[in-house]
Amino acid sequence: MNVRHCCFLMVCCCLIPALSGSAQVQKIYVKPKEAGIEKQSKFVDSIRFIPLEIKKDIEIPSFSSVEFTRNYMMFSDPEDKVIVLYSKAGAFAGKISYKKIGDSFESSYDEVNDRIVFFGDNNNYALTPRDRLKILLNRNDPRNLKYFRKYEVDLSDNSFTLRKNAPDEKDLTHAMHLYDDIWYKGDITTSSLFKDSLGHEFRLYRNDRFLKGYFAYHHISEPRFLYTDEEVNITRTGDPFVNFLTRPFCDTVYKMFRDSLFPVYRLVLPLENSLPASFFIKPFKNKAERENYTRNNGWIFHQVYNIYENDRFITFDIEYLTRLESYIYQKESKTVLNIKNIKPDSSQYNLKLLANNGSQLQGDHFYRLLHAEDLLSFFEANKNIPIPDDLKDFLAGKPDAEAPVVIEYKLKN
Amino acid sequence: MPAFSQTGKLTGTVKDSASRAVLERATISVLRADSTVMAYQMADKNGRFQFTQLPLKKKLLVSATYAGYNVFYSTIELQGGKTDTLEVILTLDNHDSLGVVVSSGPPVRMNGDTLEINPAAFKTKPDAVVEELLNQVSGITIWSDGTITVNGKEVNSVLVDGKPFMGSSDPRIATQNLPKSAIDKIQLYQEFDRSKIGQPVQPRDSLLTMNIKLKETSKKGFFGKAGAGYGTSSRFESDLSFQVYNKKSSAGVGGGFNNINKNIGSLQEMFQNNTYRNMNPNLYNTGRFGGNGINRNYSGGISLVHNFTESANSRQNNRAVVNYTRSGTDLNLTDLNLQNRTTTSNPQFIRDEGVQSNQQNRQDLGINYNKTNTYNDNLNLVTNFSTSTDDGQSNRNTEVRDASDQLLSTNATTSRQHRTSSNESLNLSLAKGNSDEPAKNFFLQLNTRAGNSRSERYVTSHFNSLTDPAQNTDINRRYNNSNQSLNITGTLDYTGFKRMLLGRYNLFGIFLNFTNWFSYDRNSDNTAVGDYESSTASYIRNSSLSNNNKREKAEYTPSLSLSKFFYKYRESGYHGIQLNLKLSDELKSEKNQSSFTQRNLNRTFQFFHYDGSLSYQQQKKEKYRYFGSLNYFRNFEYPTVDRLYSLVDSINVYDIRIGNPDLKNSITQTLNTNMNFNTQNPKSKFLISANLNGNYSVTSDPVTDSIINELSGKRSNYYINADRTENRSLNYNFNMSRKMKKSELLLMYSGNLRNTRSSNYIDALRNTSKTFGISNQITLQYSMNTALIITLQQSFQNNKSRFSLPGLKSFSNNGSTTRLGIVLNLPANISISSTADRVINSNVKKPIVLWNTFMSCRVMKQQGEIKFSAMDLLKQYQNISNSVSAYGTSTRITNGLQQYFLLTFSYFPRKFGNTAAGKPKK
Repeated sequence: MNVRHCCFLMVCCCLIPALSGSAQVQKIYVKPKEAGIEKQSKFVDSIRFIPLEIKKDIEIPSFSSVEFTRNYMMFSDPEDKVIVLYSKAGAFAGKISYKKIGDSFESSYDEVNDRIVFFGDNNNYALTPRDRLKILLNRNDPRNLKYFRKYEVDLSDNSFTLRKNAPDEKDLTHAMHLYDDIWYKGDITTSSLFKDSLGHEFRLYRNDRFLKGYFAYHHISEPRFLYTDEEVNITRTGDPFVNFLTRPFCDTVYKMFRDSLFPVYRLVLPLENSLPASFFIKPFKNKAERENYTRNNGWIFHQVYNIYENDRFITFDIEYLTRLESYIYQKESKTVLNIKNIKPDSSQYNLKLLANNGSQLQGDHFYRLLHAEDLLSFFEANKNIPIPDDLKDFLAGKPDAEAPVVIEYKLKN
Repeated sequence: MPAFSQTGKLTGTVKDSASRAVLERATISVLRADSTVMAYQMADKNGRFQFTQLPLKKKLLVSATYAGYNVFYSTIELQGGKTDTLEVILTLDNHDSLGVVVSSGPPVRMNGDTLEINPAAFKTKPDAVVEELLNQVSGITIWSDGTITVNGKEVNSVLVDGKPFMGSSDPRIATQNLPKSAIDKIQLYQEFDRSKIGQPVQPRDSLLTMNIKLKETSKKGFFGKAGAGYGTSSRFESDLSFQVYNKKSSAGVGGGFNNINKNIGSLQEMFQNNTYRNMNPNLYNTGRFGGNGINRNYSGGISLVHNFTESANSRQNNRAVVNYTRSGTDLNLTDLNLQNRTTTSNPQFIRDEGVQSNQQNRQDLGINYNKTNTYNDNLNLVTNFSTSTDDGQSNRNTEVRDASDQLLSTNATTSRQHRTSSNESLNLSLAKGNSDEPAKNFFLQLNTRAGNSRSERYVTSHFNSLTDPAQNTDINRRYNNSNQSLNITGTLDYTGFKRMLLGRYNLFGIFLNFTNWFSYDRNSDNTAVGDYESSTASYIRNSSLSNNNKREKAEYTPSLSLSKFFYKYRESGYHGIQLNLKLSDELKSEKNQSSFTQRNLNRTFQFFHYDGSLSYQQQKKEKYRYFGSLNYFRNFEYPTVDRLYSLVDSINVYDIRIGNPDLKNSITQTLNTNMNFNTQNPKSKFLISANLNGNYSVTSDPVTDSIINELSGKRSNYYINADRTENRSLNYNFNMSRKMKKSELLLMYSGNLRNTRSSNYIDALRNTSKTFGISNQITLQYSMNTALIITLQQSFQNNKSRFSLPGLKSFSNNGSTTRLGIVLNLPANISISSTADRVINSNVKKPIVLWNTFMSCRVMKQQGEIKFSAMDLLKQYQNISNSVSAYGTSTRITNGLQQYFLLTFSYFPRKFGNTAAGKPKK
């Protein structure tokens, strides 16, 4: 099979699910330059404040987002390499410093074992992308484990001690837990190092055993994936068996029920933002050509991320080749609004809750970290507006401007 | 003046009409009655804005803009004692659902990481150029030396549509020629520094770049200047600069002819000096009074630039630039040198005066090709060809007197020479970086240069000793010389060395760079010297000076650099330390073949040395940036064959050079420190930058002179090693700017200190000389809305020398210059400017005042200019300069320009796209 035939099949693979399921697939028209402005209170309600216990020497940077573990709210500060844990009611629980393990470590939460995992490179080695792929292909060679380090913090142990652990294959392959004993991998790459030309964008595993592959592509020379590393995105819903799946360079949003995939939405963009047909069949000659294409076409569609849906709205992010924008789809009016055009208003204390980043979804609630200065300045300027009950004690204590407050809210349903 | 001290205040909020949601970052502008911008700001996160210090009882227009909304306008008139509040309600522009703003839009906005300036939002004169526009943007400062800073950060490159405008790296060709009306927007962003390809990226490695995006209708155009002037004392000038461009190509012709010492030798200089700018009349492109002698200069040239790619970004370049210049100078110089010469027993005073004329003609052809595809590759190829001919003659008379003003000797020389030379050079630099294959990262630089020269010189010298007539000499000598030279130098930085050597091993994060430097140098001289024999009326070969010499030198220096970076990024900024250690082994081999046996040498040298540096940098976001470094390095030098076995020519009786075969190698150790600080606070009206550079070097076994002074003043210099020489220097500058609405105050202070301690021998006695020099300059410039620019400048210099040998007298001289400059740009296209320099020199009895005045008037719809220059109105100017050395102080007085008046007419042809500059298309 030559490359051209293979490319044709790949395009078909990409289009057929969308076409075959066209009866169910709903089109969502997105105009990136749409300028309409709406009030935040039209979309957001059920605002609840969770002031965090003020502790000396504990600072949470404004860019930090809230992440939920089994028992805690977790705030990461990758600059200072610190993780701060609070109970879900806002009481300080502990602080984990991971400065000593080096610069290349990022934290992730392992929900299966209720642990914070720090997986990263061994500082004694410098790896290129090609090295990483070679290691991945020879992951069964135990000598390859020396390139990585893994540390864990068991959150069921209140001492929050950082312990070294041996990396395993799941760490190396970045396998993510889906449900029960099912794991998935969504990394997409092309290389002459692959012996088999057949690859799948999304793979399901039962523990370590390959179960099912979706969206076949040419592992060596797929034009759209040449000289880049891509990844299928999974967005969790409150139900562990139901997830949204989106693919790079594909405008279709899939819903996944256990291991079955269905296209549910298709984003339709103006021609100037859409990928041209040549992108799928004409390969880039080298990395520089791909990089220049990306930089010269910053507003061309790349991938959809972070889908949340309720009866009235769908929120999602669209990553263009060099930009990221967040949108909200109003099901009733079938219109899409850029989230940056939604403005806070005084009924919600002028707090900007819908924004391009920073909000974390947990079940059907969103959580966002803000600092007390936003609230202090608002209530100072609007003395006629009553202070909510869950903030009264906090504000009466005259907190510092930097004191953290978590805000819980929902999209109207 | 209470009327001026009372000002009004305006506050308000900006909201959406339908939802009443506040509109953060909406732009609110306060305009005068004539629609010029008085002040602007963006609404805060609560939609609030606040203006202070607004004039009272004047009608002001307030506009508010926000993408996708109709523009809001309201007229206000502020009264004293109370704050006016305005609620701005913006309605959605339903006719423009794609968000294209019909109005001029906000003056500045952030688009991702790029700051975009919208020219249409700034009200300027119809013929304003980019520089005048930039002057109105808060945070941008254009310093008087042409440097542009944005919130304290220096703009490293100015591009037009992603490329150097007209192929030039000088930003002024773009900013002082392109009219505001031709500009779509101006972008400011950080760009990767290609000189760091393959190396770890540091915060300082990005370059602040300004990109001027032309309107689609202005992608082609032409501009230039043709001017000619004539004045008293037969002074004249003429200048030509004409440039034409389109999307891919540009061409320029330039030239000039003058006898007012105006520099026109370089084509790029011609283009830069003949820009259209009308904010600050060019006080520098005038007769140069500080120059030596009277120069008649001419030049003419052409420059062609072609971009083989249409890309409008700065990553992808594929460009060729060709420059050709033909230029020349006729110099007429009379000079007088007064020298206090140190000797142990008889201090000597030397008076040396001469008349010199010289004619030089040269042609230069340069071809530059640049290709880059990404930020990780770079190919640059530069070739230059030049030819020159020099013809000159001079007459000099020298007198040496003792402390009691008794004449000791005289020397009269005449010289006549003709020289032709040609040079070719080829410079190649190639860099590649690839994160996937780091073992293939490298940076190669290769420079080759070849030259030929031929000269013929006739010198007569008549030395008359009044102390010992037996020393009298009378020489008539001819020198014929031909020289061929070839030099090849290369540097290969193998930045992938660590990967190649250690594979995946990271070596504690230490970066390794293996550098190979090599050089091959070949120099062949054929010198024939003949002494005139009057009896035969011919030149007889002088066998002690005539010689053939061929020198070949090969050098190779492998170096290993180890660098380690420690840095920390935070939301509020970053700070980091960098350590460097460089180990080098210099291997040198020299072979000298000469017709004199003792000059046949075959030598090899090896010198191992280690250099190091430590640097620290800190940036507090939107507050300040600080950088400091400490460097240590060693240099090795071996004596040249001309110092070991000099060919002694006694025709210059006051400086007879004699070699020393016992000279030793010398080693110099240098410690250098560099510190700079600049504020980067966009909210502050003050911008401060300061720089300090200190240098200390000590040389062991330096080559110095052993001087034998004879009673007649005749002097022989023997090369000899001293024990050590020490040099200290400190350079510093401090700049500050203060914006006050439309006016700006600039303060620039710079100076340097130099201190040298060196040894020599005078009449066989060891002497240690200490010299000290200080130079300081402070400039204060106030500009009011480009209509008035006042410059006040004070500079002073002091030089001292002291000697350890008893009987030697210490000397000092000093000078100072006070300058007042005023530029007045009147509304009726008339500009008046004047500079007055008051020069004080310790060797001149009375201060000298150089007063120049210019008056220019723009006519013919701004495309013509009549300029009247009145130079040296007080007719006082003299060219005087002071210097100091280990042997005493010197004062040099030369002829130069003196009072003249000049009337010049210039025409500025200009067209950008289909619209003539200054006439916006309707």
